[in-house]
Amino acid sequence: MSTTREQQSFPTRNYPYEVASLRAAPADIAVAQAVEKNVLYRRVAGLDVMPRPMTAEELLELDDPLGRLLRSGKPFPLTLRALLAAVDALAGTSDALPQQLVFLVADGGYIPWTPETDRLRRGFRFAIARGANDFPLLISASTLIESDIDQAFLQIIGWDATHGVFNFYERRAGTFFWAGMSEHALRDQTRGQKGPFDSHVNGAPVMKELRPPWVNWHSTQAGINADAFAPDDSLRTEPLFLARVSAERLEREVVRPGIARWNQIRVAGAMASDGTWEHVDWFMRQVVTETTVNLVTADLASHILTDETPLGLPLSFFLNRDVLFDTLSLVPANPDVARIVIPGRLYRDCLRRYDVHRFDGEMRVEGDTHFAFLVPEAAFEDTNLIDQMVLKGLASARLIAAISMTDFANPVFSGRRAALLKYMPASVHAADHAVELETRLVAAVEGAVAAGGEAASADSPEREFLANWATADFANAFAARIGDYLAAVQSGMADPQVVDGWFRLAEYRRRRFRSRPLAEFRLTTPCTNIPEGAPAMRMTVAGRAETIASFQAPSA
Amino acid sequence: MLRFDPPGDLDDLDDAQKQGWSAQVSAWFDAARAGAPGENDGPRLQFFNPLVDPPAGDATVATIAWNAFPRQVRSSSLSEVQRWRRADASRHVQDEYCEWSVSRDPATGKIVRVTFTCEPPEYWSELALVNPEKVLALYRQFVSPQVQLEDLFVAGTYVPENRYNSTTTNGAMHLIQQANTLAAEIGLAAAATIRRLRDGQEITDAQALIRCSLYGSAGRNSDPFIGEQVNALARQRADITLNNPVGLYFHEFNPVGWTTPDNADPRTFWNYVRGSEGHFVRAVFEVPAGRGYTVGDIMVAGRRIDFGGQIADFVTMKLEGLATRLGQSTVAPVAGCRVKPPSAVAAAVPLAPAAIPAALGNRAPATLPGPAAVRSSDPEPAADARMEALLARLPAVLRDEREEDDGDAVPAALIPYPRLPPEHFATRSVSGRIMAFASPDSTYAVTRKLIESARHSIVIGIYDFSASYMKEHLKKAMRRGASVSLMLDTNADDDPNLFTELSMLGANCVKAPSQSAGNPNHYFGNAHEKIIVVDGEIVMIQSGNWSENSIPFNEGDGVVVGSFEPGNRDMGVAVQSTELARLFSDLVARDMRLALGEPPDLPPAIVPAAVDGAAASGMFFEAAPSEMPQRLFSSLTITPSAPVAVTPLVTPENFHGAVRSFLRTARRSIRIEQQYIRGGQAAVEELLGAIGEARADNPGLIVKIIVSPKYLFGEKKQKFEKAMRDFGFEFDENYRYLSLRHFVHCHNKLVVVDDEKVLVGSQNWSTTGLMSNRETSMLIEHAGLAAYFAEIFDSDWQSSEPVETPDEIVARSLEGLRNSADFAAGGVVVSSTADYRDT
Repeated sequence: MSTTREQQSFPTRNYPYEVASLRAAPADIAVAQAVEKNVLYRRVAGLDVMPRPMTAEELLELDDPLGRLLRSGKPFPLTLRALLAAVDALAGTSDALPQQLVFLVADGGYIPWTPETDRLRRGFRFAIARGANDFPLLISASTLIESDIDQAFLQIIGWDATHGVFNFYERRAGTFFWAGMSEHALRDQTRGQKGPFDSHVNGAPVMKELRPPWVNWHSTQAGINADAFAPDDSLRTEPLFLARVSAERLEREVVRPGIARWNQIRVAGAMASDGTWEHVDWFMRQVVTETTVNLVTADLASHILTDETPLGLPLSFFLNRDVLFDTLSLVPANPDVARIVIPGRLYRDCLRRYDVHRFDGEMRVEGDTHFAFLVPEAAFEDTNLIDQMVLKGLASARLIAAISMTDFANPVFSGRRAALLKYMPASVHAADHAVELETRLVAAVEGAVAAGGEAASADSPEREFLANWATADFANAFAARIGDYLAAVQSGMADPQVVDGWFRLAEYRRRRFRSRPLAEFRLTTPCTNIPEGAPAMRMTVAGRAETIASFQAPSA
Repeated sequence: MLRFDPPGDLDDLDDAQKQGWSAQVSAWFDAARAGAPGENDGPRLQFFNPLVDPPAGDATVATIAWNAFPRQVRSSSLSEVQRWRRADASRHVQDEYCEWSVSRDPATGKIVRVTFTCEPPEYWSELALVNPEKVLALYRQFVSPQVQLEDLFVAGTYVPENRYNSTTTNGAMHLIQQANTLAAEIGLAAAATIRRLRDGQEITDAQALIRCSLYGSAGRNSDPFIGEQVNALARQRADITLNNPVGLYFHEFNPVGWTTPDNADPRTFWNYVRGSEGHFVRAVFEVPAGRGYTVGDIMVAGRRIDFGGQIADFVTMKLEGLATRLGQSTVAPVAGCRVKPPSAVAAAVPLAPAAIPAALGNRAPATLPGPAAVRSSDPEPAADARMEALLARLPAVLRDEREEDDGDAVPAALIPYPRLPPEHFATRSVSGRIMAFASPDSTYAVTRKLIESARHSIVIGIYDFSASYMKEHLKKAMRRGASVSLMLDTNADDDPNLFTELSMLGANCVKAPSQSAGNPNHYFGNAHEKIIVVDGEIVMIQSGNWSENSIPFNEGDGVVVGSFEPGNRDMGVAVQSTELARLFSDLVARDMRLALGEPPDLPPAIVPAAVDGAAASGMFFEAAPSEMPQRLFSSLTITPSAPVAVTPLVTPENFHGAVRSFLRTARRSIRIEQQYIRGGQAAVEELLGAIGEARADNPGLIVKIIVSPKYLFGEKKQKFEKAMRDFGFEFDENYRYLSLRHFVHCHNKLVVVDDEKVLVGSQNWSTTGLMSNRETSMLIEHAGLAAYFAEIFDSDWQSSEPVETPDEIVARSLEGLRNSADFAAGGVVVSSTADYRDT
């Protein structure tokens, strides 16, 4: 008899993601029923209407560990166990990947198993990295280790060093499908299509929680241990479960390097052979918008928070620390000026006022997520690309600073920064691409302001950007503005009304996150009684949250 | 299993010595299993000593691994570079059971080698005890061939935190961070086996467990994780122990995303040099010669390696638990949490004489066998049993010290101090305000006001910092944006969290370059100065430390606001002079550079934060004075109408000669209020001789001396009395003991000559205070200020009118010793041994 864990499915982990889409795509079903074993199919959403076997030429292009494995002529390893065994069998060959790191993640995985929580849809899944000098094979799988049914999803990202791309695969219908490679995430025809690229929006591996305490993962500040499972659950003694390691290693050794590797490839290959920087907007959209987000929380577990406990809020809720502090070095020398710590009482008041709970669609669990104050933050995918662009001279620090300081109090979901996207040139051709980029961008924005309309209004983002661009000694000036902002934020830390505003802003940002395909699991974010249609919110440079239309005082 | 093997199966000990080590570890296991039943934390019955109770056949090893980069530094830093720099600044923030030291090319500044260690300090103390030559040989092999025995051993005692094992730049032989101990690992593992119930529910969460069981630091990677993982095994009703050999080990080094100039695999540059397979305890990262580049040329995520912390990011540490008899344990969970232990102050205070802490310092050092290690067994001088009993209540450091008299000796083995030239200390003309203050009357009120006025910077060089409320004032100043640099003669009296807390907020905290601070770069016996410089404009020079008795919490300035807190007699001045402020802040900065092993006369550099802590407290309890001082004095502020001559007098540079001359100028009166005057010491008697010469020239010269009667016994007392006799000073007429009815202690260092000039500062009258410590004073030629201090002196003189014989006065000082149980009853003050020690 299977456990509830084994019965739970992952509807978002089968390409195309949504069950409804599958139902609407009879061709898929037909093919799925007709697929041949040990044949690799391709279905790149946006390009392929129907899955089809890959040609021999296409197979040779897949020079990642799984691609090589699947074209080796051996039977396809269709279960997680079989796949790992197949990789183990490469020992002694040039393809050997002897290192294995096993990670465990579950939204709600810290909640101990009880008969009452048995049916909670926590979505236990493994992430397994295999490698030698680095980790070119990243497996994401359900905990149904021996199963090859679609419900027991098995997805693989393989790094193809020859072509400098990640390949995305899934096992489905008893064989493997190639769902595309990194560049498909960027190209117009395939970008955002249902499939891997609605979440891997820039073509790199994804770990939503890329900063301590790595909420939802087995990690040093919160383990997912045997008592998360039913007493008779075989996973308790499963070697993969026993081999799990802390998520910090996934962050540090697998995902960040993986994203950085792909961004380095992108930056290095930005220039066409004729010296033209094509697709400038593909890069700059990651500067002015959040193409995706990461999730971050306070360091403190919410359930141990008392009225008297100070609660340190994640700094990246208030600004883009990666770009402003790491890339641009606008970092205060004294870390204390950026410590945002609110009284536990005020946060607990918010939890009560807004009826904060978790809900998996059927079961309600009282209280906040395991770590308090879960919010979206600027994604490493974006901030690392910006960092690489500055390091390699693709964009100047001054330009990045002028953009990033536009509406800088809103590190994500800033409509004001996003408004600059339309002024980005599609391509640049000049000896100094960075200078040409900023010259054309500034000229375009100036032209829009001169033309009148909204861009000419006193508080338009265009004018804010231009003022930033014209700021003399911008590094010191912006550091001072950041200092003033942080001081203003700190001045509100004990003010119930201010904290209430921050909480509602956090929920607004979570709502924006939930609207994205990346939000696969209902237990990822807390639920509140704030309506889904509540007004949009933003942070002001005075460190206060306000509705974008007009500020409304919080209800008592 | 026949014995506990040394960490990493190290082979430094012979078989008999290994057996001794095993016995030591076994004793730790037994103690860890016993736990602390009185604190609802024991016995820990699911933890077992495998020598006593062998594991069953189902025993499985559970590896618990965590990242080596200190999480607390990461959490409190704002950028990657900031966290790497902070972690590289001090071994004392490297608290994940992994410490490192960085070697750079002196020409390019690029890193050439980073050495990592996870060897426990206890093992080295044991090795030093049984085989000091081996210790020296290992240091020479792994750290530097230049290491000498005297670098590692002082008076026959191994100093774990020595000049070759204390910094992040001069070698790392074994762990020294306060929490990085084997005992901590064993204690943590044992404590975590206790399953805890709260409101009937078993606690399973890492953060909740560590807060309930109090088995480590919640902010680290390691402690919460180790505790939670052990507890998870305990919840599976296993019996648990640590796998042999017990130790902390390197788990993996996995440099993903690194780029070397020649595409070599950076893993090949990482070499384990001590330990056994799977149990390595020392690693070196270094590019082999001949490749044409160094560690500093390797890129991590597009940035060159410029910090050891960048490498630590990719290092994981581990310990190995061992679980057996899974599902068989019948030990029931414990309701409730561990009862919070008493505060560090109370815990260190003896409830009985036998419990008096034995030594100051972070850890009890190992001792060399042989003649050098033989401690003095001088018989107690007190003849009667009552005196014996009273003496036994004195903190050991003071009790041991009372008979010691190093005569004229400058502390041995000091590094030759590069003195500043005399022109540095020329007399200045000061036009700014000068404030004069005294303890217990006004020091706190004046100091608080000045600290609260700080907008930019506070620079402090001080001997003792144990008054926690002063720490809070510094933290507030830092929140306002003021930078804080603190050089402290760290010792057990100091707030153990002081450096940690302030450093985490960004303060530059440096252990003074003195022997007493345990700094291997020890240019002074004691760094006994008390310097506070505010905003580069105001400098405070005083006799009092920041201890509760020298800066008692009296908010009123010479008036009682709320209740009055008794304290020591101390005095000081605050001078508004950018020139003097610069001189003294530069002096602190220079000493900081000395402390860090840097050239002293470089341009001012960024002083890296260093974190230290003292495990044992040097606090003890004494009876509060029965009466308030007869009169309280408000501080005095003068705004000179004409420039005031102020001369900085600094030990070891110019103090002794200048004071001798100063005393020699006296014509009418000399008032001296000192903690002590060490008779029989030549430098001291030179000063007494100068008074005698002045007396000879001025027969009417009035000489009045006040000293403290506290804990003045034996030879020191005899020599003091002899000196008084030899120089013609009579008890009562020329010298008195400060009234203990009105003050806790005389901690002052004051000389007033002819009601015209006043000397205020930190120098005690001993050879070291006068000649070789770091000490600072100011000689101020201003009649109004001299009169202010003379008036306070006269009040003290009056209140010290003897009603008992000198012997009775001195003996009575012992009767004021109290213990922690008396504290709540009132009438007790918390004293710091630093206020009493010979310096």
